[in-house]
Amino acid sequence: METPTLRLSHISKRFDMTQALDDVSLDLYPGEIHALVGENGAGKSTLIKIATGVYRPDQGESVLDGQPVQIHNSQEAQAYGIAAIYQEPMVFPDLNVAENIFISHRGRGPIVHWSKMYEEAKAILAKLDVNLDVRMSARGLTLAAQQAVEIAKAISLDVRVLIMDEPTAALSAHEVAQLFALMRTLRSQGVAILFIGHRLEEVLKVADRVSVLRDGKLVSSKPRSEVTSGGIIRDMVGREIENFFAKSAVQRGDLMMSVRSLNKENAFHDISFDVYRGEVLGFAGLIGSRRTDVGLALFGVEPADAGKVIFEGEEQTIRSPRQALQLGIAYVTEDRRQFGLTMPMSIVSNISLPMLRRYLTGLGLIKRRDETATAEEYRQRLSIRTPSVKGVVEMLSGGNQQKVILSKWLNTRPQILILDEPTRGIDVGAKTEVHQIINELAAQGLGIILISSDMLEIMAMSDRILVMREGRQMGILTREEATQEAILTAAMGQNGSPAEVVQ
Amino acid sequence: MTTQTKASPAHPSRHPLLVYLSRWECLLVALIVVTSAVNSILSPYFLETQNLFRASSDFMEIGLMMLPMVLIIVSGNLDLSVASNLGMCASLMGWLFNNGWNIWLAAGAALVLGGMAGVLNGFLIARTKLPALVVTLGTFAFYRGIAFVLLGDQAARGYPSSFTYLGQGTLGNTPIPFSLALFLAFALIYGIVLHKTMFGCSLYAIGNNEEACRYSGVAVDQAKTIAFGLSGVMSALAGIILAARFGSTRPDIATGMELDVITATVVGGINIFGGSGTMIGAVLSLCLIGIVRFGMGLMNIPGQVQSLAIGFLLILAILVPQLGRRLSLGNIRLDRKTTILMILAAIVVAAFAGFFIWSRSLILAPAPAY
Repeated sequence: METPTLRLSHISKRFDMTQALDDVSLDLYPGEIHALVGENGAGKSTLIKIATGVYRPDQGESVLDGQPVQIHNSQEAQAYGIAAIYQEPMVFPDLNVAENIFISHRGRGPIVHWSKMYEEAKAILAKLDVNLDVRMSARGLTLAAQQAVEIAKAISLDVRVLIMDEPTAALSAHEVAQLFALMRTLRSQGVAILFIGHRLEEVLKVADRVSVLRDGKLVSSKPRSEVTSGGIIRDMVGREIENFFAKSAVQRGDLMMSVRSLNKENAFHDISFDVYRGEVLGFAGLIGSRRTDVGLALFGVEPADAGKVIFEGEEQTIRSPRQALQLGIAYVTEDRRQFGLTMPMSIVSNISLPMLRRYLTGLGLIKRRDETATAEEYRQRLSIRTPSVKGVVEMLSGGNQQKVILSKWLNTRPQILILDEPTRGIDVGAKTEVHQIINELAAQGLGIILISSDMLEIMAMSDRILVMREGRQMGILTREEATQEAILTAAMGQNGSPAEVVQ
Repeated sequence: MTTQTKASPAHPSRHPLLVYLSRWECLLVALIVVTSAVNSILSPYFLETQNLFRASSDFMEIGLMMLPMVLIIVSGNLDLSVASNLGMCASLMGWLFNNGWNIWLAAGAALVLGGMAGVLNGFLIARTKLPALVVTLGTFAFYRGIAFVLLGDQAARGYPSSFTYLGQGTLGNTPIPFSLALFLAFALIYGIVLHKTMFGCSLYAIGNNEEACRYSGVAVDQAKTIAFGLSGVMSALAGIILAARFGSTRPDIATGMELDVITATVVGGINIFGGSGTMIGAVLSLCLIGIVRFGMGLMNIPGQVQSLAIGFLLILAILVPQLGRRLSLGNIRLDRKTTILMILAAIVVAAFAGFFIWSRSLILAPAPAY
């Protein structure tokens, strides 16, 4: 067999507690579309970043045309002919198509030869069978056209290995077809393509070879003719639920909130579910499944366009977080730094922020002592490890910061707590503690919505699991029904019952 | 399962007194003491209470506008329109007075107009989501324009003495100017508002992370509108006091004063990016700027040269807290950036001291013969 254009050989990479990649080898051949699939956190992104020089592997090496190479950054990767394009095209909206294509070119002298640039841009686009006006500014282009510009940019750099990270996520069906045609053109020109996809039917349609990553390990790598969708899903799951904090059974209480046909333009459609007291309702799905948007709509940050929310028997239209808080809905954001905490301020100030009204004297002055007492109470209850509650939140570890956010929202005395990725980026010990807290809260009669990309967490903690895929509700599984296969099958949009697929 | 417990995070374990003394407010006090000492050595007139009190009234308009400016800057915004708003309100008052209104009614109208102009600023910023810098740059020109429309090239004068008392009078038989007493009373109120009320606390949170505040149900837009509204009212009040002090009003009154107001705020240790600073720091800074300017004025150093000294202070006010933050965060490390900051701070201090001595020598040299 011919030598691969790029061979990633025995790559391992570790981040603190997690082994992101463990001895992964992947061969990319010229004129082949190689698809890479895996669950969230399986290590796909890490692998791309190593191939493009963003990360350095702990072990292993990149071999280009049989020669080992050291790639230190993405400029060097480009010089070797390795380019990557991502879900969101990175075009400069105020520059025209030709300028975008040649943005990375340097060393052509201080004067821009406009006419020559337009000629060359036209030639590249013609080679790709793309019909675009090179003088048009990129702002008005459709997403598919922007992606074509990105690909043209890569071609202009004589790309030999093109890595495409979920390029179809934001495209319509018609645009996907265009993109695939483009990929086949590139393939016929001898480019090696690595295609990362979440939609199995697309992978099966376009790929020549399919590799599956699971927990940082390469599970399988087979030619297209030998794979089936059931086989891929089987390879993707297979983790064991052991050593994992499991939710203790809680008697399900009364109905608290019913959501019916919730809709938001360009985000999600027709979402319906019920939340009961003492119940944890999991929201599962792959990245881009728009689970967070549902959470934001219920909390009033990005209100829904249509649909009903019936809270404790009354229909409510939630238009702002203030209103959601008054109803008793709290939302713990996935982005601690940006939306969750005011980092330079103290633990006390962060916890009391939404509920300052509670700490006022008759004259409207703030009772600092009561504020501090509340913070102390939560410090003990959730065992926040800090020398003082007057300390700055920035100084805490991720797990302790997460506990501060939880305290902040528990202090609002919510009826329904929406947790968005509550254990992302925190260590194993803190994770278990957070799970324990969720369990206790459910036992106290709160209704909990748990959005998580960690499949095992969702399965261990939830009473029922709502699976979403690209803004649509694929079904609600009970704890008994919710096997990894069943969840993944729904999340990847495969029809038919999970049992059929596994066979 | 092995659970690794993380060690508690590194925390500055420095002596509390040292932390306290390294606060910018303490440095301001020290600077006030030093400049006062130097001033009193160089000029026998400096320490006369009469002189000091009289000089203080030159800064009270700046001070009155500085108080709400602290709130605005803490919330991560900026109000460039304060001096223009002052001009507009004072001009309205003068125009109404020229047209036969009672001066107190005219002053009341000015306060209402100022408040409305401030609320308009806040409303535009909250609604359009444009940066406060841009919005108030627009109203900066707009409000000054209205002042000229109202008064043209005329001046309003002939205010009754009961009115000019506001700017020129003293409290009873004491030498304390009315405007100083007014300022101190407002400073106390604003200090309480900023540090002890829900409104003040939410301003700090907004200045640190506006998005997190929205997610926490804080009424962000409302808080901004109130802060700008207060700024408008205080601008109008400063306009009334200034007109009373001058005894007349011209449409170009207080041109450029917004920069003095912002300077006083920043020298007071209020972070220009929002989120930190104290009211006491701002008041001390006004005091320091006043003493430096008054001391130099006593020795006939021209205003432009005085500005140089204020410029040094401003740079110092930005450098030192940065340095302080680097040194107080965890263990003290002399990395490259810290060293550069320290050297820069040292240069500024040396330049300031050198400049101070040089400016004095100008005075001590024999006066040129006419």
